[in-house]
Amino acid sequence: MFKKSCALMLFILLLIPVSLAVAQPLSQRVVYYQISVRLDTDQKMLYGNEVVSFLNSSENPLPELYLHLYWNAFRNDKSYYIQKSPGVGRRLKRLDGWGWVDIKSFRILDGPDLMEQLEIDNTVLKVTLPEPLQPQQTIKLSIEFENKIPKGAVRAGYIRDNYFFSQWFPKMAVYLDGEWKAFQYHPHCEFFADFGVYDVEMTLPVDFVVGSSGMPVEERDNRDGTKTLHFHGEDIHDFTWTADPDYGIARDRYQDTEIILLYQPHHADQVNRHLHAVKAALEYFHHWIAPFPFPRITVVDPPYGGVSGGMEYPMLITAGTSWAIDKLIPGVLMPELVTIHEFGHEYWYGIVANNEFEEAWLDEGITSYSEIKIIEATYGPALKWNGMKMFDRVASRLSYLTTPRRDPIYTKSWEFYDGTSYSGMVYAKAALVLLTLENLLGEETMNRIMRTYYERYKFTHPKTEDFIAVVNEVTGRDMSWYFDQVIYGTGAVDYAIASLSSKEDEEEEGVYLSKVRVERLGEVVIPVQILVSFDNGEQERELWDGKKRWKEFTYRKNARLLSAEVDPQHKIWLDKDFINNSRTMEYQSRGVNRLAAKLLFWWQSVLHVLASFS
Amino acid sequence: MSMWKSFGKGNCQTRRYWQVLLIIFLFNLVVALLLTFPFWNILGESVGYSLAGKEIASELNMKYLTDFFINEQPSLTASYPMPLLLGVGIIYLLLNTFFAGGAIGLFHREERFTLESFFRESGRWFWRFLRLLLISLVFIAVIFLINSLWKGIAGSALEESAHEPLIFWMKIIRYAGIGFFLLFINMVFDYAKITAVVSDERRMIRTALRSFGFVFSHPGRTMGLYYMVAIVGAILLALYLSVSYWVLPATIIVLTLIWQQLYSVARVWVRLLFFSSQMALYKTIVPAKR
Repeated sequence: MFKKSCALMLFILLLIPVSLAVAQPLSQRVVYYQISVRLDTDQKMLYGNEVVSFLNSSENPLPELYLHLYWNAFRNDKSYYIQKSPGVGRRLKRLDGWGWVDIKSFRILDGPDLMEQLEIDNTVLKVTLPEPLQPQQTIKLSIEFENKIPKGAVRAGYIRDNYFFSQWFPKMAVYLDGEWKAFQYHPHCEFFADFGVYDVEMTLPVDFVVGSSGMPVEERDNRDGTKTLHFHGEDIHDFTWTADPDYGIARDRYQDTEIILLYQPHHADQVNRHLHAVKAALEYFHHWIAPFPFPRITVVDPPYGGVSGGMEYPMLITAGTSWAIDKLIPGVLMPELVTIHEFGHEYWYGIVANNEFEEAWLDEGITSYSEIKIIEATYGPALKWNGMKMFDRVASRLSYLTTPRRDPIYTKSWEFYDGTSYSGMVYAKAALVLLTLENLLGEETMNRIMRTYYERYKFTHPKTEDFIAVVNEVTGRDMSWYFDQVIYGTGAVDYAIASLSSKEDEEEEGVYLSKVRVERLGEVVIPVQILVSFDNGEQERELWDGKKRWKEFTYRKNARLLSAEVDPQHKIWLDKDFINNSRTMEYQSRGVNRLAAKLLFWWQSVLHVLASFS
Repeated sequence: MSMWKSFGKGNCQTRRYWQVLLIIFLFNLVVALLLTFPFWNILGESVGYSLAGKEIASELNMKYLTDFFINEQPSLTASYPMPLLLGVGIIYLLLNTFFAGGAIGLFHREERFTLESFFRESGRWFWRFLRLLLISLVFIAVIFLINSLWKGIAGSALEESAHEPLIFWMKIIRYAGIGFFLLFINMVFDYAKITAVVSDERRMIRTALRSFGFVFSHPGRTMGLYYMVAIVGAILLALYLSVSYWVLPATIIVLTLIWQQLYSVARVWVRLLFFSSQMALYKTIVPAKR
């Protein structure tokens, strides 16, 4: 008995430090939300009460606070969002799907009413406090809100019985670097918020299946046809949930992480594809960066015609597929690409939480880079069709090449020329910047950069200069010359072999004088390698700093020049034209004729179709 | 005469007038070559002296294809302006209408092929066939109008449906419907041309309406024969694709080119087989009624 008691005591003593360690917050918890919300499926309304505690973690007193009311973007066609995206406005109008957030009461908890102090400008709410909030002081706001749930909006709303609630509650903006980061919701913008704790209770019809950020704490039947679910999330910076009576549920696990897939009944045959993709991503990140720090990840397969697909939220992502895709084009990794991309955001947004409004490349670009690495390591080509293969990085390059130089990557989301330029820069070009960097530095060094960046900035809000500083620190070199050009600049990368010549020496038989002229056609300067090949199998490798616009290399050999290629391993994925990277002495008629023959047959077929009308 | 016999007679006639097949095939080839030439030129300048050209000879590398089409887009757009493409399309359609007159005229008269007889028949029926072509375009426009209306109605009706497979199959049915009606119009106007030639009919609206009447009076045999020839065409397509993907090594360009041209000949043969076998069926049915 004594032995047993001693053993028990020892066990408890051992547990204490463990429990203390577990209790240690992963982030500086600036906000604490306690929200109870009721879903009215008949009126398509959400009725909510929120108590938000906000810690002034800055060194400045704050005379006012800012909150986001994102759903006001869908209130009418006057909103900033709809002005910039009239297509969404037309859809909302057609479906009568306008949605909004109405603030019913706003006060300091157990304190004065602040309704008169509110200034609401569409999706941004400003409240002037009776007294400035002092540094390290916490304020508790009690807010009652009513939301009309939009239909046919973007990322949130309902379709049939499917409800998706993202950015649905009055949400504190971030105070950073002496200013409030409270921006209007814009079609290209995503989100930015402080880490904290969420306790959310939602009441809804009893037959609904719910997926959510955080972990379930309690579920109770209210005996009136409704149930109330309580979710608790720690060290997350957003809280998203979804409800649908028709969701199928599939579960799996990767080490300590539970995987929950909420899928559409018609996509039951794609459950394993989704689960495999999440597990592949979890495993890759586990070894590449760090184990996933949350106990659960929920993957939501959005409904047909829905608008919530392909998005990331803490501990919850939305995928995207269709019933027909694997039947019509089985070679397309559609659910895998979306699922892996969105899961990547759990690290690059969910944990390393940059400001998506102003520096979207830090999450979208790094996530696209991660996606390329995981997809290619797990599946190989992202598209296999008709004897052709397309790798994920080639698809990114295609997106980048459509508008390669209209905006720099480092541009505020709402200041991009258009959506194509935004996605071409922050997703595609940024991923290619990192792939090129990896090729220039070596994979091992790049892995150390990514791990260091993660370790240093997890559960914080890093900026572009922080990432560059990590690169400089890990490599021990100042790489600003690279980032200045490719992140902050709009210059093109384009190296070419301008000309080749190889002539037999008039004085010495069998000796050839060969010349290779390399040219930098773009503005961006990156040191490059040049591979020169001769007809006796001999090869010469040259290095060129690329600073001048061109350089000529001369050889005197007992062999005739065959070809020359700048960047022969195609390390520089930002190069806008790989075709002009090389030049041969001989005309490559076979390749030309092969493609021309394909086109000839294509034209013949088009003409045959036309002739059938005659 | 049954469908099978019409099919057999049509096949004999198509073989007998192989020169017609050759003329139409060569015309198709020449126009396609003219259209390919600018591309060939741009391609040669772009990848002709590049290692990319060497790699493309053995594998269609998407990386290079992407670069070619994006970087050469200005040259391609300049070489293929839309008015030029439209013009070539219209001229090609008119000349094929002209050749159709020659083919159907010879199939009807069954006289020995000479270039003179072929072009005489082509010229004789051209204006009538042209009017039939314009009338058929009206029907085709109506099909696409109905399609867009159907699309709108079905879209609204199914907007709230969560039944993805149903929505998918509704789309497939719509596409199949368009395909069916396009083929139907194509068949009716084949008979209109045959009627014009056999009856030396000059009033083309009346001829078109008579062709509808003819097809509706003999739906089994006319559609049966049409789909019999269409199935032969589908089998030839399947054979072409199978050999291209499974048998022919992509790297041997000459073999690929020959195979492509053989298939192109087969397509012209199928087109002529439609005319000749439908002519045989028409001649069997119409005299029997007289």
